[in-house]
This record gives sequence, structure tokens and C-alpha cells, in this order.
Amino acid sequence: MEKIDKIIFGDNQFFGINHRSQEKAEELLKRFSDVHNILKVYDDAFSCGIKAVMLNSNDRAEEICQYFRDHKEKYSDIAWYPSVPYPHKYADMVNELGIFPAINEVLFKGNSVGGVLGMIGKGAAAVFTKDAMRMMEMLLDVEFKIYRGLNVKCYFLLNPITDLVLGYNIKDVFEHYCEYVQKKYKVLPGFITLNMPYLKRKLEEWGIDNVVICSTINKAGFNMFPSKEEYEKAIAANDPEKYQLMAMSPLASGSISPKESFDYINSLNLQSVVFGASSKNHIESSVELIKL
Amino acid sequence: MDKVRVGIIGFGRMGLTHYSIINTHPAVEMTAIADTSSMMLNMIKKYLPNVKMFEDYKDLLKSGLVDAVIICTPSILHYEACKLAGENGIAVFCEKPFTTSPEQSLELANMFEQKGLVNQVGYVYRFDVVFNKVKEYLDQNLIGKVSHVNAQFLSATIQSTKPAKGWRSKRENGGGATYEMGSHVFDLMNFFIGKQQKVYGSLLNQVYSESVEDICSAEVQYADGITCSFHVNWSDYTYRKPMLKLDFHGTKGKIQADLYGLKVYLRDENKEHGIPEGWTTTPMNMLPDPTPYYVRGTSFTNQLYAFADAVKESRNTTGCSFRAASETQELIHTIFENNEKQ
Repeated sequence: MEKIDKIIFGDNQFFGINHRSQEKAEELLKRFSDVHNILKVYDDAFSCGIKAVMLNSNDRAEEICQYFRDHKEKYSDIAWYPSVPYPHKYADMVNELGIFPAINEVLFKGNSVGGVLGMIGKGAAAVFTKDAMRMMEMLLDVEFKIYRGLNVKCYFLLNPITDLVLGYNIKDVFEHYCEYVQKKYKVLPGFITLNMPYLKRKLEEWGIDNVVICSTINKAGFNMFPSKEEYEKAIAANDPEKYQLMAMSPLASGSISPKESFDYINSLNLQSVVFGASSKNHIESSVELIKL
Repeated sequence: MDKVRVGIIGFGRMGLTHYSIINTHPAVEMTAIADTSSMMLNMIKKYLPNVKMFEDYKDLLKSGLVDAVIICTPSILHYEACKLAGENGIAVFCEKPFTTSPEQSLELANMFEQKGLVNQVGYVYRFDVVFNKVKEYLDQNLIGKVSHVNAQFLSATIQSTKPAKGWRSKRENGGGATYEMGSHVFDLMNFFIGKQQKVYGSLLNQVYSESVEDICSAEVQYADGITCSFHVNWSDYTYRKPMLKLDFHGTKGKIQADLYGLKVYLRDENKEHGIPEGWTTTPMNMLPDPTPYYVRGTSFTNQLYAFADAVKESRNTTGCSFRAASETQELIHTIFENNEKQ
């Protein structure tokens, strides 16, 4: 399996996500409402030696990706690790419209004419044959379009979707997602989850490997389900040739010191870590502390 | 009971989530789904070969295939569905708000208690890690005698005059800020303190909606002279995420809690709990929150596991019972009536 980057720069700080404080989240949201402030932080991260970015397909992603497409020569060595979908968009739509009208809206609104025609053909078939897998492919295509032309290394399915579908215990969905991403997009399939030991056990049971698994891993045990101990066991027993493991939220939203946090990450059998920060000092000191 | 056979009635957003969560419970076997959308049923039946699909929930309840059901239909259907489940000896987890009338809620509470059937309503904040800590502190009398509580629930759910589609636009379907959000804070007060005694005043106001309220405020009295000011607003555009805030004023200190954590102020050090004088802040991520499987928040998992465990072990649930939910239903209606009198 192609090796993933050891250090990946995350995006939560840009989009008002802070597990600890709503006020802090709002403050950052304000600062990063200007895309130039986001791009500046990316440049800071690259100047600290980071060569990889994880970016969710939220409503800011298009303009960020467009900038990097427009300046491709300058950023030719940057690898992209997109995560899809943007959950709030779907949650709000499903609340307002219901599930099927929401899917319809996503698939057929806001696409270019060619795209719409192409998709209607495929979409009508999906609806008439009630083929959930075709519908999934189409939803993925809409999301992946945002990253067209960028050097994508791995497409991640975001945890609200991964964990929702995982609960259903349906092998086909996972198998199909992995095959589709590998065949059509020629990149590694990835899953973000808050239930890593459970997901890994299921993937093994289903014989699905060659997958990147990204999950919250931190010394505080925050957002690690069912427990930190189960994670440590699963990580220790892992064969990185089958599953490359990536840690996210290594700092547990700031409840432990960076040194302690990354010492813990370094001590585990992990292949990669994704972290976010909004100041150059914090990025620099984190990069120095990561020794995977 | 070896395995608990569970069915879901109403396969919309909540039904989809609940299925995923409860299906991970080791003692649960999913056996049936009922939904009026044949498109939904057709799409999923291929992938869930061991689950029987019903277009009419009544057939599901009479099928003999389930020991317990999760009801996530529009609120207007809760009463009929719960009643038929009870008549068929089936344990029920019903989404909130429980019903749309206090009489119906009370009738169901009596029925399920008499039949000894496990009954729970989806007032999910009872399983929130922060609010459980608050409950623990209140039960331990950490801040002395509580005299007043400020309870707020604010969100940016409704931001336009465009008529809302679906259940949100009608009170009889459980729409409006009082049902959708107020019910949660009312239930939390029921969890912390018990049943309300008197509603002194209530006001419902509109910002965008035409047929339901966007703002609800109420002054309510509880036992031991405790008073509570409720303020609910689902049109507050300053909140990107819903914010539920509670302030408790006691003789020995204060507790301020929200979904992100809690702050305790003590006038004197409490040696027993190791809490110093003055303010002590505990962020949510520092509170132990063991949860077997995460889909949408630890409280969603823990409330459904509590239900399944109660059914498996044939005992009362640790969640919100029909009885407690019927008390909240009574409060909601008293607030509506009180406002109409003004």
C-alpha cells in the first residue's frame, strides 16, 4: 500500500470547530471568515515542513481548492487528504426536506449543465432501481468534484457517515466504497471513525484491507470509543501493511500539553497524525514534537 | 431474555440513527422496520435480509417479531403507536416530545406501569456527561439549598419567514420552539429537581414563524420554593450550534453548566469532593464518559443502551420514564394555556 504522509495539517480550526469552547470557536470562525487568513496559515504550515493537508468538503472548501489549483506550480508537492461529506449541509437539508428530496437537491442542484445531464441519467436509474450503491457513487462524485485537479492521496469518509453506516453492519457499503475510490479515483480509501477498534475488527472480518483509518487518539482518552485501552490493543496488534492508522485530535482539544500529547502519539504503532493549529509557533513546535 | 428483538417505527433521520446505535448492542437483534416510504424500505431491504419491512406500523406491532420498539414517527402518532405496543406487551422507547396531550401521556404512563413494560422517552440530555455531573453535585448538596435556576436553550434553527415544511410548522405535530427545544430543558429540570408545582407566567413570541412560537419564556416554581426562569429561542442567529445553559444559585455556591462543561463556584472549600473555594472549571472532555459505540453523541448511545439493558434485564430504565415525560407534557401544556390566557 502506498505510504501516507506522517504529518498532515487539519482544518477544524478554520471552521469554528472546538470541542472545548464555543467562544474560542466563534473567535476563530471570525478570523478565518477571510480566506486569506486561512491561506496564510497554510503557508505557515508548509514553511514548517508539512506537505499534506486534510480538508473537509464544507462550503469553504471550493474557494480554498480553487486557490491551490490556480497556484499549482507553487504547491506541486502538497498532498491532499479530503474528507467527505460536509455533515451539516446534509443534516439541515434532511431536516427541512426529508431524506430523498435532500439527496435529490444535492445531486441535481448547483452542478454544471453537463454534470447535471450526466447525473440525471445515472440518477434516474439509481432511483428507479432503488440502487443505494449507485446513489452513494453519485453523492461521492459531487463531493470529490471539489478537489478536482489536486494531488489527492486518500479520500476519507467522515466519521458521522462512517460510524452511522458501520452500525448497520453492511459489508457491501464498505467494500463498494473502497473499490469505487480505488478504481475511479486511483487513490487510497480512508475512513474517519470514533470507533476505531470496532471498525478495524469489522473490516478484518469482511476481508477489506489496504485502507487508511483515521481516528481520535490522545492521551486523555477523549473521543475514543469504547475506551482508550481498546484503542491501544488494536493499535499494538495492527499490521500497517493492511491498515495505515492516523491519529486525529492528538491534543484532545487542548486538555493536555503538546509535549505530553505527542510523546504519547510517538509511543504508539501509528503511521500518521493529523493536527490543526492557527499560529505558526504552535505548528512549528508540534512538528518538532512529532516523531513517527 | 437472551436476545432482545427490536423494531423501529418511523425510519426518518432519528430512526436511521437509532438503528445504527442499537444494532451495535450485543444483546439486541434487529427484526423489523416500519415506514410509510416504500422507497426507503425498498432501498434498504436488500441490505438487511433478516429485518422484516412493514408499511403499516400496526402490522409490525401485531407481528410477534419484536420485544421492544423504538418509535420515531411524528409526535402526533406517538400515542396510538405506544398504546398498541402496550396492548401487545411490547416495551417502548418513544422519541420526544412524548405525545401532544397531557391526558394521553398520563394514560400511557399508567398503562405501561400496570403492565410492567419498560418505557422510556428520548429526552436525551439526561445522558449528557455534563448534566449528569450537575445532577451528582445537586444530589450531594454541593451548593447548599438551591433557590433559583436559569435555564436557556438557544439555537439558530429557524432563520427565515419561508414557511417551514413538515412537522416544524405545526404545534399538533410537535413543532414550535417549546416542543422542539423547551421540552428538553423542562425535562432536565424534572431530572434535577422533580415535578413542577406552578407556572407563574409564560410568554410565547414569534420572530419568523407564523403558526408556532419561536421564543418561549416561563417562570415556574418547583418543590422547596425553588424557582426557574426558562428562556428558549430557536431563532437566535448568534448560535452556530444549539446552546443549552443552566445556572443554579445555591446558598453555598453556584453551578453554571452547558454542553461544553461546567463551572462551580463555592463560597467555602469542599474537602470531601476536593473542590476549592471560588471558581472551578471542568471542560466536558475532562469528564469520564464511557460509551460503547459513538454515532451522534455519547448521550444518544447511552440512552438507547439503557433502554435495551432494561428490557433485557426486565427492570425500570435509568432514562426518562413515561411518568416523568408526562409531567413534562403537563408543564408544556400549562405554559401554552397560561400564555393563551394573557
